[in-house]
Formats: sequence, structure tokens, C-alpha cells
Amino acid sequence: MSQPPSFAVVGHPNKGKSSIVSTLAHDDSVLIGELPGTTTRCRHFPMKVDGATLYTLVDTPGFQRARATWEWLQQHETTADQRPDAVLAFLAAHQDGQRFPDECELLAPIMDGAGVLYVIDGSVPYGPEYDAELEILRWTGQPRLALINPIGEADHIDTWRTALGQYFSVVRVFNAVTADFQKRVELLRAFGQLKDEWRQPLQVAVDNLISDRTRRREAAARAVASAIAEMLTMKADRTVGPEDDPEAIKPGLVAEYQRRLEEVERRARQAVESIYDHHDLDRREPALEALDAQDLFSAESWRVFGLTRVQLFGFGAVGGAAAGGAIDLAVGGASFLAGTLIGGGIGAAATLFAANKLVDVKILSIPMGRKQLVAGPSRNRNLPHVVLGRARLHHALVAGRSHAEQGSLAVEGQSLDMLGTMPDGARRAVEKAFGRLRGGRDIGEATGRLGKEIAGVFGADEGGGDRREI
Amino acid sequence: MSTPRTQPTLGDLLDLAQQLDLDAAASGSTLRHRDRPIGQDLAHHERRPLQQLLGWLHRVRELGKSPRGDRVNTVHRLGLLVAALAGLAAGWGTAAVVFFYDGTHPVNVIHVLAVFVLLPLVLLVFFGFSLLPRRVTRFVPGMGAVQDAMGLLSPGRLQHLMARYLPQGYRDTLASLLGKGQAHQKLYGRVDRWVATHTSQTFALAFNVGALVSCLYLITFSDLAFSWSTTLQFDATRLKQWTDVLSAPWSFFFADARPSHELIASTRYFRLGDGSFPAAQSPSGLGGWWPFLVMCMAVYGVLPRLLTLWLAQARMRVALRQTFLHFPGLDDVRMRLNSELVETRAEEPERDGERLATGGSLTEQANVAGLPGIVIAWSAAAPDRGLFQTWLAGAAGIAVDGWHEAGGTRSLNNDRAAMDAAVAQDGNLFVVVKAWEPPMAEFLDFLSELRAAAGDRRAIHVLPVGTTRDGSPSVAESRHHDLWYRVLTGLGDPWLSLTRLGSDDV
Repeated sequence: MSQPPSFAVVGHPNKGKSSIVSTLAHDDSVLIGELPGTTTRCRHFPMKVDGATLYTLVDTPGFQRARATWEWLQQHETTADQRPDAVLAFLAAHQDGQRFPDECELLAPIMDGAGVLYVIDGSVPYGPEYDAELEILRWTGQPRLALINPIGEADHIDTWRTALGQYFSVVRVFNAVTADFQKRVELLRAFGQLKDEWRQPLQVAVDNLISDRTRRREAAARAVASAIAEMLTMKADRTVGPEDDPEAIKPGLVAEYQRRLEEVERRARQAVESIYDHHDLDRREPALEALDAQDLFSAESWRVFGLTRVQLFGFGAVGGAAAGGAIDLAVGGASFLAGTLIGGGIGAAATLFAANKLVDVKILSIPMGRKQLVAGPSRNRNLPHVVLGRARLHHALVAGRSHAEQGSLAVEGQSLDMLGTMPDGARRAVEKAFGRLRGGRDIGEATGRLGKEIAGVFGADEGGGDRREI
Repeated sequence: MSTPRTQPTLGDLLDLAQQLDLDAAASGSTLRHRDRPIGQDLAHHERRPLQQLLGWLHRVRELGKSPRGDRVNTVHRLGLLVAALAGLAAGWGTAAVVFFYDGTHPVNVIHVLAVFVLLPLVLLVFFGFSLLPRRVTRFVPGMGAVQDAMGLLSPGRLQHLMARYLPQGYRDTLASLLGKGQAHQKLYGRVDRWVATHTSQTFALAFNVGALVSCLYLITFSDLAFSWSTTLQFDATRLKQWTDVLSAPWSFFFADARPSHELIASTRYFRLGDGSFPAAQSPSGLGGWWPFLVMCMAVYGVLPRLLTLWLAQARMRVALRQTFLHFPGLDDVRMRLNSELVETRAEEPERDGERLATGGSLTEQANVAGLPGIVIAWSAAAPDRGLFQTWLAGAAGIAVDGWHEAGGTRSLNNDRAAMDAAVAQDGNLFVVVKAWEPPMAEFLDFLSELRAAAGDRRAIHVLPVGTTRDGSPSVAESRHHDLWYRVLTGLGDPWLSLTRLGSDDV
């Protein structure tokens, strides 16, 4: 059985090698430092499916003494077919020495059969200091692909294309920080073009990554659905003595109810981040605080993510009409659809009225003159829509975030704009699922169905959609 | 290693809830690595989720701490046993009262039929009401309240009540399950309802069995005399019609258990007068009712409760299966079991830190204005010499007395030659570098050799310069300057300076 392909990510220091690896391996543990020489040892990132390795990425140290290496190789040049042997001889001569530790470390996996992924920064100009690196890599005789990783704003990509085209059969532009999942997959497919025998394992790997991506999206949707289910069935209660004033205790109970709702939402966010292997997201940074600042109960959240009054009116009227219609049916139509009309009106009015309050607090009498205050479950029809809207935004940002991206999770005005308006069909489907949860017939089953609907919404978000008007 | 069950129990439900709570605190990677091998072992159950999940739970339980589910099962079985014993005792006692005969007044058949036929049939109707789903009863005013009241009176509540009298360990276990039930009332409600129904039907069956056994005991070991007596306008012919209806189910195979007209007519009893039996009736004839009564108790008491117990048990099993399968979080478990384990992360932890020392000293922003200088342009940092010299004079007032090229495409020997030529000239040494390219070992080697050639105390100024879009020199970006500063500081050369040309303070 042939060895699975491996790819050594090489290049000048500080040109984004580790970022590329971090993004392709979905690994936020990769140290991406500013100082040249942050990476001093090769680090292997095998892509495995059920323990079987399909390919391996190797993060390598950058070239440090490329000209000296190149001069050594030139001094030992024989014929073109023996150039790889010259590189092997270089490794043999310096493997244990102090002079070329970085070059030995990066050339070893290549001479062991790895394909070359040469990374440069497309935002800085090409310079002659790269020539030696390019020549050394050419001498290795291994399949090579160049990646132009534009780290900054300036654009020198065309110059780089011209230079790199002379040494590499495939030259691609790939921004490790902004590349979405589709671009990552395309790049992996390009790896398969380097060598015929690599095409099939890379294709299998891509297929598995796509399936895995779908599963993660579904898992994230289930996490959000569970949170919404918990919120829609949540109660908070407090027992007070005969001498206590229940009205004075109500605000505290509502605040407690809100705090618990927010806690459920926070846990769901952490779960979604974990599902996408973002373990160290700094959520205290201002950008994420911007999301939190749009507090669940602030007007902004409700306005941006909730239903409009017209939508609320529609959903309430349909629900009420359905109940009224049952009465019409029971009397064999003798009511001339009065039940449907009245039910629709009552339903719409009740929904609009309830939309202004998060939760009702009931005061129940219990033995010994005491009273029990019970807040929830919330009958606010807008609540799950707001929670889902916020979850959509969070999911879109987390799912689209590369593992090379450092810093906080940025949620800004344009981030809100990235979400398309949820299609009416999807909106109705999730509303129906919310209804099942409120009805409480089978929370487990209803949560499962809601999860499937949300997975569809998340899938549409990732696949693009209409821009939301805010 | 014990084998997994094929039907979930209450204990499994509790263990499942506990396991999923524990899993919520574990990382996704840990769970995937734990569950995928189990899933591969249970791949033959992939299309039978219940079996697969029970198998998974069984395996995970073996890996973890001792489960509490078995204790819940014990409590549940104990509850059933108590209900059965209580039912047997109540049935036996009731029969002993109804069949009481001390030789003075015979056992009234009408009593027996009322207690062991009519009452069970009425209770069966109530039982049927209690089974109606809420979505049906909510349309009938008051029906929900009736159902709640029946729930309160149900012997099934025994399962909850008896928990108070159990040892502490069992109480904790049950409280855990019931507490979970309160938190997720709607989720566990269906199971709770059928567990209570199953217990109540166990009691009911035991009651009827107890009564039947008691009846048979009295018949066997005493001389019961039966008659019938009622104030209602009921003659023997009418009663015969009723007994025929009641005995219809067995009359075709057990004719002796169908009372004859003669028996009915001859066993009517009036307490008025002398209160004695009809003179024509022989003592053995007074016992002729028992086959009919025994069959009534068996067919209208025991048999229906056998069926309702079977129904309750079947529905409880369905409820357990449904609740188990729809338990929040199980979809994720199934995904981990049945989906390929895809891994892309590094196997070994990150080992490297920033290896360059940041100690040492470096003169930053040396005052180079007006100094004559020898320039070494590193790696084509100033491709247009004339343009650069003009910029240098304008930005820092440096007059260039000598110009040398090193690095880039030039050989190492050329570097050394340029270095020797530069140090041979008097004046400050200025090494111009591209600010955007990081200082690499190759450059640091060059600086080290330059220091050796120039000797101590001779100033060497490193000047990182930026570039504009058209290639003209410009001030270095501060982030690039900072990087150069951090690296050069590590060299510890007190006569080395780093100067950002074009900055305001130059």
C-alpha cells in the first residue's frame, strides 16, 4: 500500500506558513508568531478518517540561510538528474550541525517524498532574496505548488505570479485568514493535481471534509435547538411567606428568569464554537461585546432579529383561526365560520399583547398562607425568533472564521448585513417547530425537528442568501 | 462483561440523563474518540437506533463510574411488588368480607356481583377515561380535572409515596429521577404516566387475584351458603336473564357455571319472617352458585385487569423507548457513533515559543542627521541608488560617501568584499534593509561579521526602509520597525543602532 501523500509548507519566515496550516488543519493551537523563527521544528497535521491517514500537512521552519545553502548545493552540482542527490547530501552533511538547522528541518520531509507548498506574502514586493529558496526547492525534484498569501493590503500578486510561474506548475492565491470552507476545499483539490497518485486520496479527503462540515452544521443546529427548547420550557419560581409582598418580588424573579435565559444562550454559543474547533475564542474583546451589547432584551436585538408586527399579527391570527376552526368543525359549520374569525382576531390580539412582555408571573396560593411566584414558560412569540436570529449571526461568524484568524470575534454592522433574510417558508417551518415546543407534546421530538429546520437555515446561510435589510 | 438490554428501563433513562450531563462537560474531540470505536463495534445496529444506543450506553457505563440506574430499577420493581402485595391483601380482605358466612345469613349473590363484577366494570370505564390523551380531553370541560383527580387516587402514586420510606441511597436515586422529571416535566411526563398506570394495574390485578383466591379458599375449606336477596322488583326469571348474559362467555364450554332457573328460584332469600331458606332447598343446593361466581370474578375481574396490565406494560415500554430515543443530545451521540471520525489537528502539542532572546541593548533612533556615511544596501533594499540617496538626504540629512551592495542574489564572497570595502572607509556604517522583510539568520550572520571587521566602538546603523506602490523609499511601518527592534536587541551590541528614517523625531 502506497504511503499517503504529505505536503511540506515551506517558505520565507513570516509569510503565513503557519496560518495556512492552521486554516487547512482547522487547528487553532498553531503558534503564529511575529518573530521570524517562531517555528523551529516540523509539526505534522495528519488528516485521518477513522484512524487512516489520507494526507499529512507539515508545518516547517522558514528558510534562514538560503543563500549559503544554495552555494553549498552549487558547489556539489553534478548533473540535473542528480540534483536531488545533492540536496540529500546537504542533509547528510548538516543534519546534526548547528549551521543549517532550519534548512535541514524543512528539507527533510520534502526529500522524504512530501510535495512542496511554497508560501509567500502577496502584499509585499518580490525580491532577489527569494531566488535562492526557489532554486533549492527546484533542486529537490518534488511536485511543487506556490501559494500567494496576501497578508497586507498592498497588491503585488501579478509580479509574484510571474516570478513563481517559472518554478511552480500551480500558483494559487489563498488568503489563509479570510478563506472560507469552499476555498479550503478547492485548495486541497489543487494539491491532488500535483501528482496523479495523490488525486484519489485527496478527493476522498475532500469528500470526508465536506461530510464532516455538514455534520458539524447539524450538530450546531441541534445545540441551538436545544437551547431554544430549554428557553421555551423554562420556569423560575420562588416561594414567599404570608408577610411578604409578592408584587415587590416579581421584578427580581423576572430578572432571574432573564439571567437564566442568557446563561442558556451563552452555553449554546460555547457549544457551537467548540463544534467548529474554536476553543480559545476571546469573547471579551470589544467586537464580541458588541454582540453582547445587543442584549437579548434590548430593543436593538428585538428589532433586528425578531418578527415584525405584521409577521406577529399573521402568526397569531393563523394560530387563533385554527383553534376557532376546530369549533366550527365541531358544530358542523352551523357557526358560519364565526369561530375561525373570532379565533383569528383573539389570537392576533393576544400575540401582539404578549409580544410586549418577556414573561408572565403567576402568583399561586399554597398551604400555610404562603404564595408561590412562577415565572414562565415565556409566551412571547418573538423570543425564539430573536434567539434564533442571534444564533444565526453567531453561527455564520464562527463557521466562516478560519483558525488562522486571531483576535476577537468581530461582530459589526456589516456582520449583521451578511445574514440574508430568512425565507418565508423557513420562517413558517421554524415557527411551527416553536409551536410544538410550546405545546409540549414531545419535547425531545420537537427539539429534533427544530434542529433539522435550523440546520436548513444554517445551510442556506453558508450557501448565501438575500441580503437582510436593516 | 454483561450484555446490553434490548428494551430501555427507567434505570437506563436515568443513566442516559446522567451520562449526557457528564458528556456536556467533555470536549467534542474526547467524545468522538470515545464513541466512534463503539459505533464501529455496533455498526450492525446502525439501522436499529434503540439497540445501538442501548449498546452504547452499556459500553459507556462500563467505562465510567457505577451507574445509579440499576438502583432505580430495583426501586421500581420494589414498588410493583408492594403494589402487588397490597392488592392481594386488599382483594383477599374484601372477598373475606363479601363472602362472610357464619351460618346465620347466607352470602348474598347480589353483593358478590356488585363488588366483583359491577364495580370493576365501572372502574374500567374510569380507567378508559384516564387513558384519553389531553389533546382530546381538553375539548371536554372538566375532563382534565377528572383525570387529575383519578391520577391522585391512583395506586400508581405508590411509586412516589414509597420513596419516602426507602433507605437514604435509594431515596437519593429516586429523587434524582423525579427531580429530573420536574425539570423536564414534559419529556418524562409520558413515562411517568405509564409507570403509574402500570403500577395501578398491577395493584388491580393483584386485588382481583387475591379476591378470587380468597373465594376459592373459602369455598374449599368452608361450607358457604349462597342465596340472593334484593328489595328491587326482581323475580327469578329476570335474574336468570341477567345471569345468562353474564355467563355467556363461558356457557358454551362450562355449562355448570351457568345458574339454572331452579337454582335461582330456590335460593331467593327474605330476611322477614323466619329468615330461613326455602324448605325445599337442600344444603348442597345452596352452594350451587359458586361456579358461576368464580367464573364471574375470573372473567370480569381478573381477565380485564390482565389485559389492562398488559396494555399498561406495553405502553410503558413504548413510552420508555420513545423517550429514550428522543432524549435531547442523543442525535449527537448517534452522529458520533455512525459518522467517520475526521481528524485534521496536529498530533503533537505546539512546542516552540519565540526563540530569539529579547534581552541585551540597542540604541534606537540614533541621531544620524548630518552624518557622512558609508551605505551597505542589503538585498536590493535601494534598487534606485540615486533616488534613494536623495530621499536619504532629505529624510535624515545623511551624505553618502560610499555605497556597497550585499545580500540578495549576490554571493557570500561578494558580501565579504563589500564589507571589507565599507569598513576600510572612514565614517558611519549604514546598513539599509527592507523593513517588510524580517531579519533572518543570514542577515544576522552578516551583521556579526561586519562587527568583527569594523571592530568595537564603531557605530553601525541599521536603517529599515519601507516602499511605496511605485517602488520609491518611504518610512518603515511601525510594526515592521518593532519587529526589527526586537530581533536586533537580542544581539546585545551596544554600538548597533536601529533608526526609523522619515519618522517625526529624526
